[in-house]
Amino acid sequence: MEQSLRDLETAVTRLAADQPFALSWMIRTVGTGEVIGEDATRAVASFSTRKVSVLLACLALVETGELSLEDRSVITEEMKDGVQAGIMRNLSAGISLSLRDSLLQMMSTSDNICTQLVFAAIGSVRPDPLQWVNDYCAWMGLHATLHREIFPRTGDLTWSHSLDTLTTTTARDQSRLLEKLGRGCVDDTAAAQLMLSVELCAFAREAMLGLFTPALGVACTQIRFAEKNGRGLRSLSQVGLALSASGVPLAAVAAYAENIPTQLPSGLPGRVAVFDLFAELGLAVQEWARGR
Amino acid sequence: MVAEVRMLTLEECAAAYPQLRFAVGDAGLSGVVAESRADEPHDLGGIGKLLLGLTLAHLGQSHEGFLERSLTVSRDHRAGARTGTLRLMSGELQLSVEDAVNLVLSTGDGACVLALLDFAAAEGVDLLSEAGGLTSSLRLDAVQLSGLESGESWGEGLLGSATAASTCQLLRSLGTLDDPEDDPAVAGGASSEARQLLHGWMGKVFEPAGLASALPGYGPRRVRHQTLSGFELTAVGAQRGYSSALSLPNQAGEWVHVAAHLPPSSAGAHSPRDVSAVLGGLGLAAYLSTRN
Repeated sequence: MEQSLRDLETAVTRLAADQPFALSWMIRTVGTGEVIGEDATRAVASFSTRKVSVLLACLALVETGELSLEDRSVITEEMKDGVQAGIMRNLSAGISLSLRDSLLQMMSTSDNICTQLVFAAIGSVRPDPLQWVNDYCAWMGLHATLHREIFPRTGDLTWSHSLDTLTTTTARDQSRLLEKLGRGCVDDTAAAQLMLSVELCAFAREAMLGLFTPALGVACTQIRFAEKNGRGLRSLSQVGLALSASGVPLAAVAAYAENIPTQLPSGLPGRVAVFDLFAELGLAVQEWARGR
Repeated sequence: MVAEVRMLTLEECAAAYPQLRFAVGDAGLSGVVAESRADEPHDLGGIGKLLLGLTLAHLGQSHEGFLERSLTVSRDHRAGARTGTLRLMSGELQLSVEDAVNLVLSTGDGACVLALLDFAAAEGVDLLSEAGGLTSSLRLDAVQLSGLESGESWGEGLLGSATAASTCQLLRSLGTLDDPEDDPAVAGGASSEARQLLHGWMGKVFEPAGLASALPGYGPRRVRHQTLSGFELTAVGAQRGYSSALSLPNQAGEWVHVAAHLPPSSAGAHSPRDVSAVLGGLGLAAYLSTRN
């Protein structure tokens, strides 16, 4: 392992130490097979970080020609029921979106009306869209990831909720998928392993660069993160693909903070400390990238 | 290092962040309860959308069916947008005027701003004049409107300057969702219906940054509040600064209003996370002041 990667491991381990919540994390350098992390096989609720795999599983059907990014569908009033995430729930029913735009909103604002539209599109060509996404994850080696719902009704959950009915994953699985995506953005063979083209991998990367609430890359000035967030009741997560200023994929990062107290002893909301940590994690990756 | 939210009192905020301008007011006769540099003019820097929303809500009451009319968010509008998520999308999008305003206030959507400005012009509405008339009737002498965004938008619509004191005065004039009575003398010509619309939009801000970013809560649950922020102005924050507005009820159910502006290139504020640490700390201090 390179010294700079060891330094990154030390830096992230220090960041994670003494936090009032549990952090499982993994970082994979793109194309080298090098991996660092801690507690990365812990099963966690994925919340919206699962949408990276939903995005890629849907794009695999675009690659086969069964779906088109220009396919259109209409938002109905019924789709708003139970939705907590996104911007479409506050707009009038009847808005027509292309599959391309539904995928972009699913990633940018984590819009769960758009997530329903994406699953409906998959369901138009596969009998069980949730099973298609689960099969895709299994094919990609995400053996600890189980998609259990189209979208979670977080408004019905308590802080101490069970994981039994929620989609679960691990930092290892999510970093594995993102590392494959990084290679797929620049290599035809790697893209084919994701059942995609280089162009569709690039589409996925661009969709993730449009995240409305970046956390890993929020303080970075020399690298960027194509990233996706996840928000539960007691958990916050962030997964991302670190890119050089010129867009070269550098590393896949997955971090899951669990059992976050609603409030710290100081009185600050617990989530504030997690977002500080995610920003510091992004800066640590930037420092590693500078020293390579 | 990333700046961290600090637990401070309102008075300590003034000392800790000497460049920060803010005013905290209540709905009672006492008016302003805390302030710092509140009468110093600053770029609207994020609260232009508040005045734009109020103007369009007012027009919606004086022109029957105005808010229900349909407009088109075009390729040109998306190309000119520097903020928001519709710029990521493709093709044309049909929205009602009300839905477009909703997206301006909830996500600072620049594409919707440009579509609204074009729509108003096509209808023969002079938005700048209408907004100027409203600020005059509300006796907001410190608000100076200089023009409309044109060609490109940072989600503001209106350009000009204000003071923290004048924005706080505006928030007080608008009252709250809980106001049972319409008091035209206080509202300065903004009808009860227009104010209710504005309150509804300010209650749906997507993942608010700024003053609301460190309010107590977890997951999708936060203490009750309404807000606006200039987080969306990150791209030009270094030139224009960051304004934010917040209203929240105290323990007696009476609403407290906060307006703040962090000037461009403030010491120590280098990233959106740093900006939110300052403004979020002030918002938390305001919340804690309502608990005493």
